[in-house]
Amino acid sequence: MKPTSSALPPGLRSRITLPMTDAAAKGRFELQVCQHCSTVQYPPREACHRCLSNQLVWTLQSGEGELLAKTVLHHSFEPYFLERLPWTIGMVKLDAGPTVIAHLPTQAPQPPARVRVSAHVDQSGQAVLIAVAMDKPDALANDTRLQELISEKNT
Amino acid sequence: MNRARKGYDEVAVAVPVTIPYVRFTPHSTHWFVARALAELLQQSGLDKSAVDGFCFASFTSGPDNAVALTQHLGLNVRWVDHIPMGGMSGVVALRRALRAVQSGDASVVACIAADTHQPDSFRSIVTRFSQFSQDAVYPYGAAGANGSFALITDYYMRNFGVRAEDFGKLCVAQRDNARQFPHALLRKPLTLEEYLKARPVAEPLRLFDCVMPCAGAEAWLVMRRRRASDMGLPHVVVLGTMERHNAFADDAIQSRGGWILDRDELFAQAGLRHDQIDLLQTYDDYPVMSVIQIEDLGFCGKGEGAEFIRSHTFTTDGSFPLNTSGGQLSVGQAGAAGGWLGMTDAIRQITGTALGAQVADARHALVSGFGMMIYDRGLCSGAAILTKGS
Repeated sequence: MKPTSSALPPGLRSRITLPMTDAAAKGRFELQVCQHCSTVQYPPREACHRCLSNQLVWTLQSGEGELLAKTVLHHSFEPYFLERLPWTIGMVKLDAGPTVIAHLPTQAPQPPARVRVSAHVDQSGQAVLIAVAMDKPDALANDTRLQELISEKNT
Repeated sequence: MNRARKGYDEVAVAVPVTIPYVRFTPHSTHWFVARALAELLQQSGLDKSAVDGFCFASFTSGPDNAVALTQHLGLNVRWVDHIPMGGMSGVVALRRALRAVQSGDASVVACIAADTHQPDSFRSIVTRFSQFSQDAVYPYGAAGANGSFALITDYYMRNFGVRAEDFGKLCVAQRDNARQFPHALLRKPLTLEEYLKARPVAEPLRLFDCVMPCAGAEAWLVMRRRRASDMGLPHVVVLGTMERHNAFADDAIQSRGGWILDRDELFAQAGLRHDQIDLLQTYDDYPVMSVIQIEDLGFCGKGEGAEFIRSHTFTTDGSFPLNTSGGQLSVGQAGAAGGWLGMTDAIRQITGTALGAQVADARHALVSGFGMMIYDRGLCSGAAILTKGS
């Protein structure tokens, strides 16, 4: 379906996510890393979930991990996605530790598969994660739907 | 080893109430709470002044919590609890109320879960369900928990050999159970073929894997057993319970829940074996969770769920009766009350007062709770084992 409205992806985030968006704007995928016990965590929070230290530093990630599961959405509450269904997302276990939910290209691999997660700024100006197969690094550049998601909104 | 927990045998659970479910309603949550309380009083014969404890669960009462509801309802209570735990709130409300009555902090606790359902109310719940879902799930487009449970289901099917036909069998059996349950919103017979051909919602989830959000209320009273007997109220007693939160946090994706950690103690507290359970009420927000609960409660081993499904009927008149009302998948999910439906129906089944089909000679019921998909998994798991009190 051709998008017709000016709907944007959901833009609501808590303040703790701001550094992730700042990094994504510079093309970097950064997560909180505990300076006390080295735990890498996601989603962002106010303390290390292991040792409760508040010494958390946003640190560059390789994004490598395993795609554990994927789903093709045929329903959404959000006009942006409703106009673009079906939409594919997946769950990735990063080698660094945490599990993330990420957008996938339409031509996503079947799980389990090695993928690389990268962070981007979406049309609402917020960080989103995208996972592509390690052996198909062009999958993001070739996916018009994802390119639109992370393009600057022309208004 | 922990010291053995106290039992609950001097406390009764009575007067299971369901305020009929409706798909959409102009009424607020408070309307359903009031109807539930009125029904508890009417069916028990108690005066409102006899209720000195109030336990409440809802997603849609905001900005009001349980205390605010006491003023709405004119309740003067000396014990109040608000259980914001969704599909786990029924088991937890039961546990809290049992101890309140047992300790003497309250003598009659009205336990009520109610939710309204209006256009857009479900969307507004899921948009800001939690900080994590707002920051790391909802932006990816899924309509509430459907996306996360689709991922869990996808993983489960790939790794544990459960097929769509297996999930379908549970959904079809529950629909069969719902056909006689007067409050079920979905009572039209469902065939496996219809299940498999239904439109995809979030692959591999199809339409009939997903509950229908609706409005309604579930409620019961907790009081001393002697009082229930003196009043001539059919009632159950609770033989054992458990709750566990944020278990197996290091699992990369959810394929098990906290039941595993506490099931041995649950059955030991109840003094029962698995084959003495006559019916099981799972929290069936999606069929994959029913399979996980069957496994993790110990009715079969991990990974044996598919074989277990193929060897039972799950109907009220067959082997291993499951979700005897039809469950949320057929009755509907009235918000937090969805986590209470199995309990009210189990109380009825055990006291021989089923509204739908009665499981013959039902003596012991296990009611399982599950809830709170805060990020990528449901954090709360719990269970209670009920038996006849009189």
